[in-house]
Amino acid sequence: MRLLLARRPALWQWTSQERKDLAKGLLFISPWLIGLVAFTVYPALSSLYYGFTRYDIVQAPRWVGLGNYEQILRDKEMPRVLYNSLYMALIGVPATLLISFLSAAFLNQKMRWRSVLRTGAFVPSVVPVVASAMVWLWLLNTQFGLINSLLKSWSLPSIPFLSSPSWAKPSLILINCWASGGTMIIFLASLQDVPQSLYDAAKVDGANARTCFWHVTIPMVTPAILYNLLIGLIDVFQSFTFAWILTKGGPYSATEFYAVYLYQNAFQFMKMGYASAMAWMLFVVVLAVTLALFRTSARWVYYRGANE
Amino acid sequence: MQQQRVSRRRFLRWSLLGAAATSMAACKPQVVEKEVVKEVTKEVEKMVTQVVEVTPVPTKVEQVTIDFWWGWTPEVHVNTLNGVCRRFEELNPDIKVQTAQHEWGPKLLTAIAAGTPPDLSEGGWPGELAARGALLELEPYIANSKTISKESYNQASWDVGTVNGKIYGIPALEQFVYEGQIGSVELYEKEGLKLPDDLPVTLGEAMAQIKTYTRRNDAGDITLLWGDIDRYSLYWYELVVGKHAYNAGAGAYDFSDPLWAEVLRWTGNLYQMLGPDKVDAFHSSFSQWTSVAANSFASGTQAWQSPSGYWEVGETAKTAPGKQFCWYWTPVWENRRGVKCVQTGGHTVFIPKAAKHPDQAWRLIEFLVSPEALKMIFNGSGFLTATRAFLDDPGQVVDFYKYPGLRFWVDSLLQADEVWSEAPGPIPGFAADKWGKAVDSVVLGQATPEQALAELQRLVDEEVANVTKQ
Repeated sequence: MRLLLARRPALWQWTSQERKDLAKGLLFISPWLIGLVAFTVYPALSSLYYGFTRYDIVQAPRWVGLGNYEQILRDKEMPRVLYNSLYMALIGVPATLLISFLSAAFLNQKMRWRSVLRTGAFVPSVVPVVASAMVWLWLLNTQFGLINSLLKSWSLPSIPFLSSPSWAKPSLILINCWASGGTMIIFLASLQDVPQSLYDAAKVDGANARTCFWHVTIPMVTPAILYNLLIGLIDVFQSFTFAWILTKGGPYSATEFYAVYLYQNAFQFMKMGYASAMAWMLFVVVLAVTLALFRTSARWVYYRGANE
Repeated sequence: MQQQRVSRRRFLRWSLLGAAATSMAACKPQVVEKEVVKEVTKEVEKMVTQVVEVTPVPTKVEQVTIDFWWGWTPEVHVNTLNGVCRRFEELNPDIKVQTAQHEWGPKLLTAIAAGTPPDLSEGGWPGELAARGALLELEPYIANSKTISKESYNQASWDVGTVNGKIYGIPALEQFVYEGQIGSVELYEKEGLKLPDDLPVTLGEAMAQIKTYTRRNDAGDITLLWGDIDRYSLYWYELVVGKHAYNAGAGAYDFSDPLWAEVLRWTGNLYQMLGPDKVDAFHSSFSQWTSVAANSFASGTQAWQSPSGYWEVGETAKTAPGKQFCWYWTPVWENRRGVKCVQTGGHTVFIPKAAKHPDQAWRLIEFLVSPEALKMIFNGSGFLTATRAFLDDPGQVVDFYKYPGLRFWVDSLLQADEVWSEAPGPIPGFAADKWGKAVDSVVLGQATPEQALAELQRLVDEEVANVTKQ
C-alpha cells in the first residue's frame, strides 16, 4: 500500500514519455474535463462570488460583502424552512434506511421469485421522478385516490395526504421510501458480502438468529449504512423535485424545504445573490454533517480487513 | 515487409504546408483566357440588360426572423397563437416569426441574463423585469405608431404595463376583466335561492352562505363546498377593501389601513370554520380552475366563488355543458356595500432591451392588438383584450350569445363604478408570495392579522429598498 502511494517526481522531472502519456490521458478525458469545468467548477465558483453580491440576474452584481449571509441568519422564514428540511433528515432518512434495509434483508432470503421481487423493488428508483410524482398525486388524492378509497371501503376516515400540513411531509417520506431501490441494492450487496463462515462460527458459539443479526450482520453492513446515511442526508438537504411537483412547497409551506426556498429566491424573486449564499451555507452544513459522521464512524463502522 | 512510418511531427509539418498551399491557391486569381472572358461577359451583360428591360425582376425581400415567446402550453392556445403569427407573416413577408413557450418559468429570465432574449415576449407582470432595466421603454414606439396610441386602452389597462410612469408592456393576447363572482344556478335554486339577487354582496354575506350550505360526509370531508375565495390573490383583496396595496406615487406598499387586518381576520375565520386541510383536500379532487375537466363547478360540488373572471364563461361552456352559471360583481367589505367594481388586467407583451429586432417585434405587437388578431384569438382560445376599439364595438370580435354570461363581463367595464388595475409595482411576485404567507399564518393561527401584516410590511419595504438601491 505504501509502495503504491510512493511520491511521484514533480512534473518538470518527468520523462518526455511520461509527459506524452499525461497529455494523451488528458486528451482522452477532455470531454469530461471540459464539462466539469464549464458546468460544475465555473458555476460553483461564480455562485461563491455571487453570494457576496446583490445580484438579480438582470443587472450587474453589486458587492455587499457578508450582507446575504447576515440576511440568511435574520430571515424569518429560515426557521420554518430548516425545520422542514431537518424533519426530512431526522425522520425521513432513518425511515428510508430502515425500509431499504428490511427490504434488502427480506430479498436476501432464499425464496421463489427472488429475482423478480428484487427487480420489482428496484424498478421504482429508475422511474422518472415526474412520472412517479404524477402517479402518487393520484394515489394519494383525498377523494378519489386508491389509498383513500381503500380506507373508505374499510369504513376508515380518509387521510388528506398532500393537502394537510401535518400529513404532507410524512407523505413525501413514504414516496421516498418507495423510490429507495438504489439504497436497497447497496444493502443487498453488503448483506451478500457477509461471509457465511462468520454465521457458522457464531452458531458454534451458541448464537441464535437474533444474536447473529445484531452481532454479525449489522457490524458487517455498517460501511453500507454509513454510505447510505451520508448520501441520504446529502439528498434530503437538496429535496426539491417531489416537493415542487406534488405540493409546490405547500400546503401552508409545509414542504417548503431548503432547496425549494432557494429556488424561489433565485428564480421567482430574482435574488440570485441571496440564493447563492444559501447554496454555500447548505454546502457548509452538509460538509459539517459529513465530517461529523466520518469522525464518529470510527466508533461504529467496522471495515473488514482494515486492521489486517 | 518493411513498413514505412511517417513520424507525427513530419505528418503535421506536411499537413500544415499542404493547408497553406491550398489557401494560397484559393486566394490566387484564376488563370483563364482574359480575352475570352471579356467577350462572354459582354454578351451576358447584353442579354441581361434586354431581359431586365422587358421583365421587371421582383426585388428580393430580405426576411428577418424574430423570436416570440409566451407562457401558455395547452395545445388550444399554442395552435391559436401560432395561427395568428402565420397570418402576420402573410401580411408581412419580410418577417418570419419563430415561436416558443417559456411557461412563465425561469426560461425568459435566463435568456435575458444570457443576453439572448426573444424579440418579443408575453408575460403576466412586466414590472419585475422593467424595474431592473431589462425591458425596452415603448413610449417612442407608441408615439410613432399609427395603430397603437395612448387612446388605444383605458388607463387601468395601461397601468398593467407601466412601471414608474413609463410604459414597458402593451396589453395583448389576454387582458380583459375579472374579479367578480360566479354562482351555480342549479345549486342556488336547489336551496331556494335566486340568481343574481341572492349572490352575496359583502364578505359577511358570503361567509353566512358558506357556513349554512356547505355539506360534509360522516368523515368530515367536504362534499359540497358552497363557496371559496382565492386567498392568495392580493389584487382581489384590493377591490374588497378599496385600497391599492402598492402606491405607485409613493413607490411603496402600504398595509397600514385597519381594513387589511379585518379582511385577513375574515379569511382566517372562514378557513378555520371550513378546516384549512379539508378545503385543500377538496380542491385536490375538484379544481377551482374551470378550465380543468371535472372542476368543482362542473361536478356540481361548488356553488360560488370569488374572484372570478371572464374566461370562465367559455371554460364552463366546455367543461360543464348544460349547466348554468351566473356572473356578477365581486362582494366587497361592508363599508363598500353596493360598489360595483371590476379589475382589468392579465397579460402584456414586451420587448427585452437586448432584442435583436425590436422594430419588427413592434410590428407584431401592432398586429396582435388589431381587430383581426383579436377575433382569431377569441375564436381559438376564448381570450379577449380590452382595446378601446374593441370596447367601442365589441360585436366585431365577440359573439355575445356564443357563451352565456359573456355580456356581463363585456358590459362590466363600461358599467362599473370602479375599474381597477393590477398596478404591479417593482416586486409583484415577491409581494404576492409574502401576502400568501401572511394569509397562511393567520389561517393556521400562527399570527394575528396585525402581526402578519407588520411582518409583510417589513418584508416588502426591505425588498423594494433592495430593488431601488440596485
